[in-house]
Amino acid sequence: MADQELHLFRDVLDKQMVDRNGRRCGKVDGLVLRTGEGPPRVARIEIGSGTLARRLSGRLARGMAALSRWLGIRGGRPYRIPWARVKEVDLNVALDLDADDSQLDAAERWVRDRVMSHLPGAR
Amino acid sequence: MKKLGDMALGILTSVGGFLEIGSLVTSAQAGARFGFQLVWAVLLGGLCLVFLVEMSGRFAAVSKHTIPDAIRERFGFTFFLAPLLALVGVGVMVLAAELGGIAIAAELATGVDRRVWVLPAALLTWLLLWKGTFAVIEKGVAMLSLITIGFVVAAVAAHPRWKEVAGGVVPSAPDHDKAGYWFLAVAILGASISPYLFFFYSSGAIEEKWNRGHLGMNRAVSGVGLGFGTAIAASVLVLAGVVLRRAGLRVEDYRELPRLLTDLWGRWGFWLFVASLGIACLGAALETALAKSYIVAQGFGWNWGEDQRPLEDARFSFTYSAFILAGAVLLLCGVDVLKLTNLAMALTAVSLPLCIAPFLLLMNDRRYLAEHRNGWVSNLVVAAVVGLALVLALVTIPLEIVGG
Repeated sequence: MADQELHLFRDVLDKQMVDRNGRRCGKVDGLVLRTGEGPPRVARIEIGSGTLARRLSGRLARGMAALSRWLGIRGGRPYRIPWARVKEVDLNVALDLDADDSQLDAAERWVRDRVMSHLPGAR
Repeated sequence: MKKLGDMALGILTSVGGFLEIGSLVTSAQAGARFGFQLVWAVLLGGLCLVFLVEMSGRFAAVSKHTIPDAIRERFGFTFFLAPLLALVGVGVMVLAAELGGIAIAAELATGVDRRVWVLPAALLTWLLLWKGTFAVIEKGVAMLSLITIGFVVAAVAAHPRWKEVAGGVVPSAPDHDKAGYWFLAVAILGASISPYLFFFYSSGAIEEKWNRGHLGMNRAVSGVGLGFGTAIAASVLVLAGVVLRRAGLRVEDYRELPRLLTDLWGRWGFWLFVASLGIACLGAALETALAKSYIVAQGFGWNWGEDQRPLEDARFSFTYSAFILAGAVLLLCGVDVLKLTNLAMALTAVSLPLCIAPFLLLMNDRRYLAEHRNGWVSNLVVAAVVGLALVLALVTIPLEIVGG
């Protein structure tokens, strides 16, 4: 990405993400910074129901994580996207990733494979 | 040339899609109980909706965002939850009422109890979404809904005293049942100013890839289309004000509704009414289910779109399936459809500020709309009508609940 200033809350958090193929793959649910030498830098984007829930309440976050673990979605862990994978931040946050190849779309795939594909006429 | 065709289509679908069980029941009750005195409420609600839909289309075309997507992006997830929960909660009631409308139409047509028709109505709605595309749904059913123009014809044929109707354009105090009058005013406003409609509209604009070049068409569709749609709802009120008032009916029972057209047109009127009710409610059920699902999917960033195969946007299709099921279950609990409709419309009016306040802020945000931000007129009309609706709702809903 170009050398510029980025307003994290205004322009990144809660923004729509799209993958390499332009497919929508969630919104930025959380941002993780890394401190240490120099000013803090953005380490990664986090997504997942647990991350989202933590913005409301810690107990809810633990509940959502337990639910995700029980359903088998990423073992209840949030999905972490290293900042290096962000191609650009414009209308959407464009990622250098394939939603299908990664655990990014785990929840979507779960609903698709475990629920919707069993309904008549799905294919 | 294609744009002209698209515009005509957009206008027709807006006209057809306006009337549904909410506006039908509230307008009929208003006409039956208060004559033409509540015409102003229908017109005011319609005016506000025209502004909101125009804004919604402009927002999508210029910012390339849908409204729920933008609300979360701009105000954060925590804030977004408030309108989300309100819309979903009230939305299930609205959807149940629309399914109830379909079931009532089927009962009137066949004589078989409406509770039998709840699941078939839900299944039909679901199948159309599962198997259909945006074209079939938005255009097909809405075009069929043009049958509701019959109410306009009937209103004229009923020879109302037009001077009296004109008098109803100005708000006036009723001489009886003040609480009931104002509650109906709120319900009418909630029926007209449907957040599902303008959220749905912004999704449609994105799906059809609107840009700045579509702004003129957007104005035409919202102004002309919804203007005519409002006229249809007003016609139901006028018709009820003549026909039902004369018969001394209060429309507390849905079986009184076909009288709107049977007095004038006998058997033909009956079948016209049944078809109008069934089709209009089916269209509204589809739209409400989709709109709620769009709000959820767009707020969470999922893949969405009616033109995609259901498995390509599994969480989105799961969402609308769940909503339809919830609506059907609510209906199967045996709730009175008319009472449910009135309550759903009134609660919609209460929840409007929660959805419209962020939307108005977005409409004035340079980063989303650049030079196409709202002018003061749009801001004023919407803020005033929604503010009025809220105040009235907060006063009248408790009274109505206490009064029975």
